[in-house]
Amino acid sequence: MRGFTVIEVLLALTLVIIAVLTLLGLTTVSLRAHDESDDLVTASALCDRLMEESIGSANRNQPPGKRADFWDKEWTVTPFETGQVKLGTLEYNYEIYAQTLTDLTTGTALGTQTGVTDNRVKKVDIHVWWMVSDRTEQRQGYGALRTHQSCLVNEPSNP
Amino acid sequence: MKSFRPRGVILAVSFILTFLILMFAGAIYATGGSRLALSGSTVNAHRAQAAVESGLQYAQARLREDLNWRGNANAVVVNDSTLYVEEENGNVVGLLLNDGKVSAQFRIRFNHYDGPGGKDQLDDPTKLRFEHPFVSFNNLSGPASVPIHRGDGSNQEITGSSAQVGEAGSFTAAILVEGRAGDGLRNLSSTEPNRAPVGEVVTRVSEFQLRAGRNDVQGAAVMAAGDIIVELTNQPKSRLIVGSSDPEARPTLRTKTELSMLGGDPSGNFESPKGVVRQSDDNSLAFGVDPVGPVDLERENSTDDFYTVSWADVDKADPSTATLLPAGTYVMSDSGEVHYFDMSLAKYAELASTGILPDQKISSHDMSEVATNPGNIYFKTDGTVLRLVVEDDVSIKATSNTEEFNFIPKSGALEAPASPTLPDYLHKEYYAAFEKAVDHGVTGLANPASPTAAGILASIGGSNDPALAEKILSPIIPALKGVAGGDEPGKIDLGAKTDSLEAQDIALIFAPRDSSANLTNPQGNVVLGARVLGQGGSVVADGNLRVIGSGSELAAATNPQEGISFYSTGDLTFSSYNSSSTEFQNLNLKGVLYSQGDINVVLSEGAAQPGFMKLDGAIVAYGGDPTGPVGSETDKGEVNLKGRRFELNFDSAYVAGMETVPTAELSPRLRVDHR
Repeated sequence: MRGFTVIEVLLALTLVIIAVLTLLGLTTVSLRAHDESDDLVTASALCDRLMEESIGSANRNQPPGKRADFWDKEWTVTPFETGQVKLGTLEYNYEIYAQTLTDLTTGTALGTQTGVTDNRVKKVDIHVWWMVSDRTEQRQGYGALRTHQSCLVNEPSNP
Repeated sequence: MKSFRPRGVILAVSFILTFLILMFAGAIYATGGSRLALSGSTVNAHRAQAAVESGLQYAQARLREDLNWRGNANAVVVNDSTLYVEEENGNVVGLLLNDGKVSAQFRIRFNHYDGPGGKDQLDDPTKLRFEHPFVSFNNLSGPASVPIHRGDGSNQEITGSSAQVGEAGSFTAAILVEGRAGDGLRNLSSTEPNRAPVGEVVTRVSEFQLRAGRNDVQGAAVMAAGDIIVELTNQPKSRLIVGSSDPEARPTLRTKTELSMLGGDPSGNFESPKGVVRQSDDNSLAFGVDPVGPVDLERENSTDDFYTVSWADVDKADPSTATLLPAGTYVMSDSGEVHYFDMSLAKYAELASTGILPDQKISSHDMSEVATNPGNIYFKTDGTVLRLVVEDDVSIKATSNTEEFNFIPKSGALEAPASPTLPDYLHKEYYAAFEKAVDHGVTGLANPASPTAAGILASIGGSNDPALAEKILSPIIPALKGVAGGDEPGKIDLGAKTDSLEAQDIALIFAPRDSSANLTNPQGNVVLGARVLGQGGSVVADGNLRVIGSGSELAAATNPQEGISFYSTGDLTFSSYNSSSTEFQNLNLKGVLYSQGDINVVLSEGAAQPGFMKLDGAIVAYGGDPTGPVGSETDKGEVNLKGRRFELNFDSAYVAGMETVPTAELSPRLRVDHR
């Protein structure tokens, strides 16, 4: 009866182990990509939701004073709104910035050249990040755990 | 029993197993990558949709600023570290930036790509030409619906056969915004904001319908941003009579300042049964206004709307389909000929006296020697009257020498008899021209405080820039010459040649083949030294419009948009002095006389026999550009009426499309996503 040679068994074992380890490694990477992907989509939807809520409440002046706060001040250095939202097991951080646009052809606020009031335009930026303490921070082994959204908003007429 | 196992079978099996495991691992890895790519697309889709919303918000702000906005600023409007927006001939591009990189783009297209002079009245863009068919239509100021087409031509242009996909109703706008996001936009920049993307881009297109708010306009026979000044001869029945053909509309005069009158029938110079005068002072009529019977006074607020017809909205001849006549001076002579001179009226008058006139006789009755796309205007002799007959739209095209359109008898048409003093309306016009001349650096013109016509004319040659001075004063030079007098008062000096043809011997006649015909000078002044007659006609000038030297009988067409018979962005002047009979002819008009400046009707001057005016329709002196508030231009918007009798009858049939004005409150929004 002829058995396996030691070399044959060792070689076979090595190959299978390498393959299994590769499988495990890639599975881990893939699962992380899945998670990242889910987190990014969630964060993107969260951008839309938070932007809509924040601008909506400002334009409805809820709480009172928020409308003037939003439209009369510049929010380019200090965020207009900041906070955390917990979705599932993950906590998302966000900051909303807003700046009034200037019409280069007149040097006045965009939308006001003919003396129209309550017609300014702001560019609003929202930044959302997760699993890191600062939105500029990178986490080892992950891509950028952040996203952003930008939108223009036209000032509604005063009720 | 002996079993047989060939050498290496385990190794072979392990190879196969390893291969299968690695394939499985690869598949799992690829799934993860695809998932990430998919999430990237989802994020870009969100950003593209946000870009669509941004484009809408931008357009909405611009439209609330100017209801006629169509992306035509032709400038970079916003350029900072977070946003770049540029407009060129109806197309708008916006780049939303994050950390200095383009994260999304919006594009709005109003241009039809039908070339200059096309239906959109926009030159084609060169830098911001979008290769998509989604064209926006702004009809926020329009009282009638307009069709919506896609740019489905071979180069995305709207053609005559482009399918109609809907319509923008009255006082609405259909704004189509395209939003794009993705790595493919990374090569865009402020220098090339419309470059073709390289790589993946997610695109969203949405259509929004915006509706303007509306205010009803208080109808009136006269609306004046400035004074209404009526100067009547002292004769029996010499009156201003204001009526209304609409039983539900009271006879009304509206002025942001006041109605003032001078002269007239001693038993009363103002007659308006059940009428109302709306002026800034609602306590008392000005001294000089002597009503026959009671007249109510109401307060006219500065913010109350007038009929609003902007240059963009007024019914004009479409240069792409109209007969095009070159700008210049068209002269009719005793011999029954029409001669065309490529020059202003002032230049013609100057050269006529020297006899050095470049002669261009028009022999063809359809004027094909000078006309492009002839067929809408003819000249013919009918007995002793030479007629220029307008059967369909005619548009004037500026030449390198002039932007004016003048139609006169060879020796000119007088505006007023010779007089030692300057008539008030001419004095006022000279004052405005003097200020304009000073603004342009002209010095040496006659002092506007107390000038004489002869003094003004003499000072043109003595100014530091006679050519510019003459150009600025050009609209009133014929009138000044008339007033200045001479051997042949007011006539153009023809040197050794003579010509007896008078303004009343020639006529501009509107005889539309369809319901209406329009004569438009889209770039300059118009002087008609002829009788203006017909039905369904209108004359439109982007400048001063003067109908001088004879009486007129013209009825505008009534249509859903407007029934304007005369429209000018400058002053609108009628003077019907007939020099041969030394009397003023009567004016009988139907339609709306609309001016962004003043409206002057001169039917009496000096000892000449005065005339009367009868109008069915309305008179509007807006006092500025109607895209802005009433009376935005200082010292403009007066209505000056001078004559024996004025019968002004408000007729709502001619203002059907003007009774409502749109406001900047845009709502509601109907949204349709296209892809």
